[in-house]
Amino acid sequence: MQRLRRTMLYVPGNNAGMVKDAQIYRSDSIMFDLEDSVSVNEKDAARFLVYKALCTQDYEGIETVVRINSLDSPHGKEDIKAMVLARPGVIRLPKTETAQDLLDVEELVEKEEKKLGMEAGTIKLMAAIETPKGVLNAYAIASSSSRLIGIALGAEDYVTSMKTKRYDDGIELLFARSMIVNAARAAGIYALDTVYTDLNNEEGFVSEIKLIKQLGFDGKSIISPRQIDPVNKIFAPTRAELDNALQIIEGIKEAEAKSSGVIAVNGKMVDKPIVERAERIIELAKASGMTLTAGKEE
Amino acid sequence: MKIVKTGMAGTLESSDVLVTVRENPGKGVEILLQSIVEKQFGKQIKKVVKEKLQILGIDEAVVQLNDKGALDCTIEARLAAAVYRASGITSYNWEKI
Amino acid sequence: MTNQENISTDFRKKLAPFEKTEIQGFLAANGLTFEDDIEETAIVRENNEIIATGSISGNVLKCIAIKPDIRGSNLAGSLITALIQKQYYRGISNLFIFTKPQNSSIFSRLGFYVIYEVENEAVLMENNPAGLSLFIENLKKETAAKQIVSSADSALESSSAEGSTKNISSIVVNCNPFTKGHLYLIEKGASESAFLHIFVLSEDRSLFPTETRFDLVKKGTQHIKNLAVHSGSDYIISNSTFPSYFIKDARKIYDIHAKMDLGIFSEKIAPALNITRRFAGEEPLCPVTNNYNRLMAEILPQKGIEFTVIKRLESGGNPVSASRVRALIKENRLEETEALLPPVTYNFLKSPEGEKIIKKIRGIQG
Repeated sequence: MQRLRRTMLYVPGNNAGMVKDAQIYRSDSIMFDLEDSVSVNEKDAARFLVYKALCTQDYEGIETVVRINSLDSPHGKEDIKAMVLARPGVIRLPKTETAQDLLDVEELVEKEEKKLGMEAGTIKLMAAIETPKGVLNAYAIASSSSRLIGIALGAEDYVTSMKTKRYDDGIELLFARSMIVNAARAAGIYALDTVYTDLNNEEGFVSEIKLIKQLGFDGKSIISPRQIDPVNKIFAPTRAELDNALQIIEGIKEAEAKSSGVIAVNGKMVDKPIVERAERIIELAKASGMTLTAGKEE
Repeated sequence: MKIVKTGMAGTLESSDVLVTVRENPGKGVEILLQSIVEKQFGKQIKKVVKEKLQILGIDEAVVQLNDKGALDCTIEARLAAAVYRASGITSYNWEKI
Repeated sequence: MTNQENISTDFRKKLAPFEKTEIQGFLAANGLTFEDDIEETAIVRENNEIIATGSISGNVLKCIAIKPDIRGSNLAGSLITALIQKQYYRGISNLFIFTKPQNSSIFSRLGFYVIYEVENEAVLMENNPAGLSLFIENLKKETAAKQIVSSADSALESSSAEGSTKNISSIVVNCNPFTKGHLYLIEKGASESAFLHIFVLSEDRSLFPTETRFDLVKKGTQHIKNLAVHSGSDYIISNSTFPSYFIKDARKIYDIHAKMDLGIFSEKIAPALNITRRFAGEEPLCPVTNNYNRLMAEILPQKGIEFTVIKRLESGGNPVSASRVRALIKENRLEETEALLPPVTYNFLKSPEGEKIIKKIRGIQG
């Protein structure tokens, strides 16, 4: 069963209240931030706070991600040292420009794992791509490490580097998004979209979610618990999609029982990609709280 | 670890605690607690602080806490940050934090 | 976490004119004024509208105001945290707040302790509950060290045994810079006392920096055995640094300042050192200091401290004063200050460090 990563809730790492309550909103992942949301003077304090929270608090199965500072900064190495010991699910590297950036982090993570007697590869990695160069290197980054579970677009810095800004229709991000989703698919990992910062523009947010779903993204980083529901709603399959998926899985079971090699549902051939898609739809439906008994009465 | 200057960490926001660690030469450990949950949890908070100081090897310090309902792990995190700041040490022994 | 999304806190070292007007208006609406010695100001806005502000100056937090209908949310906690952190990053962790007594409960919830209250008028708070007692402990140490060296303790014993008029006394000086006038005052005070405590004001508004002023007094009085020179620290409050932003009636500021400064002196400091008398130099020139002498004469005896004014030393028909020295320096007449200054000060002025200050004094005029 594949993990859903529709919503990755961003939590400023030095905000004790938010770190404490992050799991109550039931996002798919929680991303504790040690980077941009933490001022230089508070880097140490945030690291202590996130470290203790991860060591102590029960996040109830929600995936925990820590965005560390880059290795160019004076904080990145210590972040890795502390976080490997704290064992979040994933360490997210900001501003990844090359495969080497990621390999450098991997090397340090592996060293710490070894020191602590942890199995190599325990800590997964994720890379945020936030520059034009990073976008062009998307596939090299996406395929650089077996620890990598996904790549994410960070658009705020990217649009500035591109001498533009964010527009409602998102055309300025089309190339970067396509590159990233394509690279992720080619490497077999997750593709995650950037944040949407205008909390007062619900309409704009909804159309952005529809767009990234259409492009093939798995989900999105979000900055407020208020953004969880709209994303889940749009990513939820329709009743018809779910019924169809359920029929496909049912069909497979029947075929297996009959030891039949060829599977057809409603007169259509069912092959591997279709089964995978059906499984994914059912997972999404489960996570969205839909009833799984097929609505055959229709 | 030895306290060589005043160290502060944390905030006065809800669910957080502001911890100040000061030198206390020759006078052991003193804990001054101000908490919105002092009646129910005052003893427990002081116990957490004492134990953590012991683990960090602090035997002389005045520790002042202004608690706005922080979890134990938050108190420990802020205390450790304040102690490290007050000791001027920047190589951290994470297993003790 | 959702209601903070549109709230931003920014710090300004120098306020743009429009912003200053905005802050002044916001403070005025809360019955407060903006003070000109402010070093940094925090401005909290919600959707561009100011909802809170607070400033720092030295180790003081002041001009703090929160929009009335938001009070009670934790905005005060966030604002004070921002100010405390700002101070901490610049190396200041012992912090003070001067405010109206009715606000003291808000600040005590935020970790500040009342040091002294002038009833209905003003309260001084500090975030270190042991701050004042550490200061007093230190004064006692400085005194003991001096008494051992000078064996003045025998004098102390004899004075009490004889029941003579020789008290333990005190003088508060600024010494900007230390002149023969100050030396005369100190010598006179010491000769009339079993032991004399000199407090040098700690404030960085003077042309001569705090450490220099302190050093010159200390060196220049070394020959007098029965005295100790202390730094006034944060508990001898100079009129020039007393925050009055919360006092509506400007005519009351001097009074309230005197009541606070002299209250702390006579109720907290004097008893710890057994001080029963305070000397001051006669002040014919400066109206502010003269007024303070008048207030001391009024307040101190009520608090059980005898107050004695000593006539100024004169030179060439004029009183010897630090302001006269500064005026001569300004006018490029350094040689003439030699007659007014003890060698320790005059030699300092001739040193490279002294030269810097001379330039600063002249620069002010030019």
